[in-house]
Amino acid sequence: MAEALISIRDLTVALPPGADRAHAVDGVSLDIPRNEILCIVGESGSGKSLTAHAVMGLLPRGVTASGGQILFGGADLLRQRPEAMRKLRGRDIAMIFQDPMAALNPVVNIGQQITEQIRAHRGIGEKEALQQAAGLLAEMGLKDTKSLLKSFPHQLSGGQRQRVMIAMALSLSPKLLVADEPTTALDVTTQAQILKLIKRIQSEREMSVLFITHDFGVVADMADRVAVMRQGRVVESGTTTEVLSNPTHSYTRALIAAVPTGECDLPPPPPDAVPLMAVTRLSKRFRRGGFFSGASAIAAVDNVSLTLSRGETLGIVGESGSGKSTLARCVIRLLDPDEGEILFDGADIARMGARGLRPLRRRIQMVFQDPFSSLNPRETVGDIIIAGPRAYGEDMREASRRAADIMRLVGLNPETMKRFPHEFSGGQRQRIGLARALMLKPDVLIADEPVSALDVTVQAQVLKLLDDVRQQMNLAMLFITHDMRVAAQVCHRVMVMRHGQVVESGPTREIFAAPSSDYTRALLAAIPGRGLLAAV
Amino acid sequence: MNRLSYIGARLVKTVLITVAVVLLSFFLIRLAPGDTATVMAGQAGFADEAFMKSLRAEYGLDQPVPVQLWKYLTAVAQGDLGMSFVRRQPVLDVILERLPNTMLLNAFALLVAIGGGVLFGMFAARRPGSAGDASVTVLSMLFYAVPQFWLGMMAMLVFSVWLGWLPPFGIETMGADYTGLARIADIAVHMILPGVTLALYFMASYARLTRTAMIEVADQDFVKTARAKGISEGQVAHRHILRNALIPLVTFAGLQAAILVGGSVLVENVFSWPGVGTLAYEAVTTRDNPLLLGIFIVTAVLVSLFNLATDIAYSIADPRVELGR
Repeated sequence: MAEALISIRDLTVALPPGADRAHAVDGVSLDIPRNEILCIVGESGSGKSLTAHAVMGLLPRGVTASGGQILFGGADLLRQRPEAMRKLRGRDIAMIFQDPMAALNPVVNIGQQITEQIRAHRGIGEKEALQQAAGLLAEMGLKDTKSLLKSFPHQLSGGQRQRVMIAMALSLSPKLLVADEPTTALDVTTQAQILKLIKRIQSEREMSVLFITHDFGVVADMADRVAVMRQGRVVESGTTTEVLSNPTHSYTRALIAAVPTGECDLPPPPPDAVPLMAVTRLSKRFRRGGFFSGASAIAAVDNVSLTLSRGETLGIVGESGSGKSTLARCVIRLLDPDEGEILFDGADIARMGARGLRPLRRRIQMVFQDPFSSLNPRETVGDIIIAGPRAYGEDMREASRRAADIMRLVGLNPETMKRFPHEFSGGQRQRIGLARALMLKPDVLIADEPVSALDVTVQAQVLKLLDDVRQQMNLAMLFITHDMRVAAQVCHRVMVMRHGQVVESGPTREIFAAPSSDYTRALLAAIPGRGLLAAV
Repeated sequence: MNRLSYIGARLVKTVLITVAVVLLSFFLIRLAPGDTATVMAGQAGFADEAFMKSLRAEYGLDQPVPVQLWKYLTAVAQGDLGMSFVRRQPVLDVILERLPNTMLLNAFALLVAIGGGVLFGMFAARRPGSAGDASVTVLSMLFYAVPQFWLGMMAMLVFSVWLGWLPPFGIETMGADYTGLARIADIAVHMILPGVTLALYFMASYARLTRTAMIEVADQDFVKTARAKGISEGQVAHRHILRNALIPLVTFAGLQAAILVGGSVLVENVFSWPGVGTLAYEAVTTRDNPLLLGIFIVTAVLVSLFNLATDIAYSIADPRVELGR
């Protein structure tokens, strides 16, 4: 192993009193090697992110490094004065974050955000700093750097923003780049580009990278060395090939096993099924402007057709802005489609009024992406899942009895029904969301990115649950996701969408084996760690 | 839609709003019992039926209401707000003579309120929960709750009567006939008591608003980015935290600038400030309906313009906001 740039020794990070545990990081020792990429991989609550923040000297308020050392060039970073740490930050150690939109100041232009860092450490003028900034942006593969410098973050795409963040971090040629889940908020194809970019600049500039991720696929693509963290401790570490090919700790094995490989072994859809739902040439446009200026319309869903049968799962795959969620919202009639028809059990619901829809609403239910904001925090779980049947006039006692059954079905203890949503974990809340939908005995279940906010191991459990429920209740499921790997796990058929249009559709196995469009090929190629993990 | 056509559309709306205000106030004023003629007759000391009749004829008060309304509307459309019954001067001239005084007082009060509010808010947000934060909170609650006229009278009592530091009322020293810089200084000294009294209430709410916004923004990711860049804490506070925390303040200050125009009636009267506020009070007590209507209209136009200015200021403060979207 190469000589260490930074040595973390017995790092302990204490949480404020009253937290669910005393230490978020508990005796972590790690060497960040020179000129290599070290990945720390772990699920939420593993302490991986706080370890990275401790290196930066940027622990959140109330959280302190209570023990250990972080040695950098002979000095212990935990015992530096704030002013000395400030001078180090940005110059020797730089950091990029998960969500580049949130990480950039929305009201200061890009140029100023880069130059203020350069000028804080080097006594040069604004003009010279701007020239350097333009050079950095070009190095990150960005074009038209002059106008980019004058732009504001909201005017850029997600990928551009993260490139700007990286340019900023590299502006003083730091020895270490700390990257905290830098691609988690990005689309798959953008993620692949950013990962490639980080890898390229790491080798060109011969610097060290501390890369935090929850995704073993990303580890396989990026890391020279890897450390697996769980509940504040390092459970396993070594070179990437060692850990991936011969994981010794059971948790590491579970994590690797939980990563969907993108290989599809689901059978093709049952033949000659009569579709329960048939959507034909559906379009939805959003308008903007009006009064004095000319109005313009954006086709969010453009001429989309699909069929859905009982007992099958149709995956709708696309990146952000592809129209997949708008399509779902039209199908469930939360939005009014502009054109096309939605035949559901023989009736066209595309233009049906509220009165006609009401008896049908019960039969099409939805599970949402964010398990935190989709449950009313002021109602108990029992009230939340009983509200639906009660609204359709079901007897209170009958509804409560069924609620207990459904709670058991989704793997929750019925006695927890008196609790409030915040007392449950993300995975448990997603189960509550599913229970709420199932209480109405739906025929169609629309799952809008149901696992993208969850940890990988939890993700696998929820996906399995969804598939079990579909089989037991003979549901037709519309599964919306941006993640090809997840689609491969649960969908019989997939439909790939881009810019509101269908790029291609067909049985999942066929599409994964022989994609017919360039876009689908690009999506498949962008799956992180595909080759490496599949070989393991 | 570009900024200019947006402003054009808003100006059209301002005209519509003004017409609505004219109609509404025209009828509202008529709900009060009595009219100018009864008040003038009362002042004159006798109420001869023929005298009342001639007065009403002189001011057109004997005409049917719709005729009076039509006459008034067409006149306003031509920029003629009518004659003041009591002062026997064109209403517009009377208002325009007083308006600069009110604007001056309000601008000063707004500056004091924003400046003081932001400073106190920043101070309180530095250490949430500290003694300094608590005292700012208590003080702002106090100024928020105490009636302005009482505050004004107490300020007058302490600073003018007991301490003798500041003049108690008026806009300048009577009969001193200062000119040039001396006059400006004289007016400035007179402005302090009413201006600060007017400002305190708003300063209190700005301090609370700034404090909350600063604490909220300080937790955002881009503040962490700023620290990760190694820039100084002062720069983090100013460029990143304060700059974003001030955005909600722009909306608030714009709304309150509009409120100030009408809200200075009490304070102007307490300090005998010769502005539109005292004028409005006189117009009410003397039943000078044309003058009162004129004040309503001018105030409504000003409020609309203030709102427009707020929206433009907002789009400058926050580049994500595009006018007309």
